[in-house]
Amino acid sequence: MTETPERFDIPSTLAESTLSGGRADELSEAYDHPVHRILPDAKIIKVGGQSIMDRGRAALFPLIEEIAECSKKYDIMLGAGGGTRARHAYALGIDLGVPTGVMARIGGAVPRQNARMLQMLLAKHGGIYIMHDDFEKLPLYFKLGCIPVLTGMPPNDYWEKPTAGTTIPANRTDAGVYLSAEALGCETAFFIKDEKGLYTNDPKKDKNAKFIPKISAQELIEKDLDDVIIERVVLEYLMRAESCKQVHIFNGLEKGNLTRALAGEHVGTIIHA
Amino acid sequence: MNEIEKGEGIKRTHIKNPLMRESLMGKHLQDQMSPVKELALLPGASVVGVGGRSIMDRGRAAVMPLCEEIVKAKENFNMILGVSGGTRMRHVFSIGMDLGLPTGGLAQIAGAVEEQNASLLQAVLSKDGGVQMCREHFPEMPKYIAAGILPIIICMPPYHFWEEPADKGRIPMNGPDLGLYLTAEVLGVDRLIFVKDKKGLFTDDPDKNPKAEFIPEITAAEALKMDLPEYILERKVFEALALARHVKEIQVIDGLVPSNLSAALAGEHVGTIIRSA
Repeated sequence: MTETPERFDIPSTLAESTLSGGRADELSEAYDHPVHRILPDAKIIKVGGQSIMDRGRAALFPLIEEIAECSKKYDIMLGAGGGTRARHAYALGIDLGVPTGVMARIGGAVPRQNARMLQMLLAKHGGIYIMHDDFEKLPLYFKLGCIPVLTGMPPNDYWEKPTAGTTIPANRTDAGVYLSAEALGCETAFFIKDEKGLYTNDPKKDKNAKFIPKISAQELIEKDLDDVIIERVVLEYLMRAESCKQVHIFNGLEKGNLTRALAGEHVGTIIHA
Repeated sequence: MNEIEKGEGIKRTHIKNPLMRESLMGKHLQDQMSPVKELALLPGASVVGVGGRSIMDRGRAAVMPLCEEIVKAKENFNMILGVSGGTRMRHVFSIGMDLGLPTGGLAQIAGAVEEQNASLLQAVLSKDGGVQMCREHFPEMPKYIAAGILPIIICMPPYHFWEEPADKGRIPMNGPDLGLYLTAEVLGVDRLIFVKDKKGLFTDDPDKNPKAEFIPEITAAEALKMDLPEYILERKVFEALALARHVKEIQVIDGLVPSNLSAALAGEHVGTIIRSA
């Protein structure tokens, strides 16, 4: 056999690593510096699709006023949810048998519409529509007093991982908003929905569902509830988080809840690492 | 599925469909909302991953013969080439981890190295139809294939800042191998071949451990259960492979050995075959 050609190598601690396996884990964990928090004071807030956007002006106008008022005090970035049109598109996609990656792609269009609508409503208060590629410009937008509005969907697109069973993407707008907060080094991610928070079952369908004000992600996973108010992948991410160790879910139809939640008051359900 | 259910006042407006009013988090959906049959978008094609550290970083001595073989194989197979990062990716991760960058920050900087390698590979394959394809053109893949073009893509999945926190340390768990696997799986291609500089999967990195044993064939679950000190592919690939709809078998081959790629494309077993189950 001929000789193996030499590599053009750059020496680094990882140069000889496959980056996969126990040895790579050790190399990675040897860097134990505290995580650099990129924009820790930003407030990352999700506006629910089905829960808020699909209710139209009656729900949105008061909320918009409150967001505008809060933006005078905090750097706020909004992430938009999908809602009923995303569900319709997913139902069609399942019927046609498109793979999970295509489902994630079609699921991405609806939160973009919602983000654009939020931008129009917030424009006079500084609302701007941004894309994933604009994420690194957030300091500029905040300095100018803008309220950036991003789709909640993460940029996974065709590369969304299939799960067992359904082709509905596991990472949707809750995951995207949560991961925005984690990447920026924020301590809490905020989720505006139309329920007080987490219940033992969907309170819209089960009148006996009980409210859970505070719970750890681990406990919630162990409870194995039939329905939860936040995407299940977020619970897994929470347990591994370096910065964003809690999510606060609250009812945005009640005036004042957002203001209180941003001030650190406990108004809904807190799920923590 | 087209009726609108208008919500008066503060009530929600719905479109009637099987997922109407669902939180989408309900457990019942996991089975109920599975497609009867999942479409394969590009059956008949093969996805071939060209290793960064294993092939590209070795320069012309490794890249040129492999490219000749790719061009030869193109006469019989529709291929999509993916290329990964290599030593510069490891270097930028080392610096990034020294700076304490979060996992999402590391994922954000990883892709540039692959872009360089894709440009290099495209230049070498240009006269034979190599085209560097960006993600935005992904839905045009059938056009490229029909025209006899060799699309060259980067492997890293586009998660960027939205990469999930890692189990241990900060290196993104979803790397180039997983990205290429997902490319092959979403397209529903016939074959996925990872071209590396080792015969395949060993019980340890044979460069570091002379006692490492070669594993010619294994299932994804078995491989993960072995909890090896080094895997030739990211562990996330094994997890994804276990849930495969289309790409239920992948092969890792030594691309420094002439004709291995052609043999693997033809279905021969020349490296390690990893199966879904």
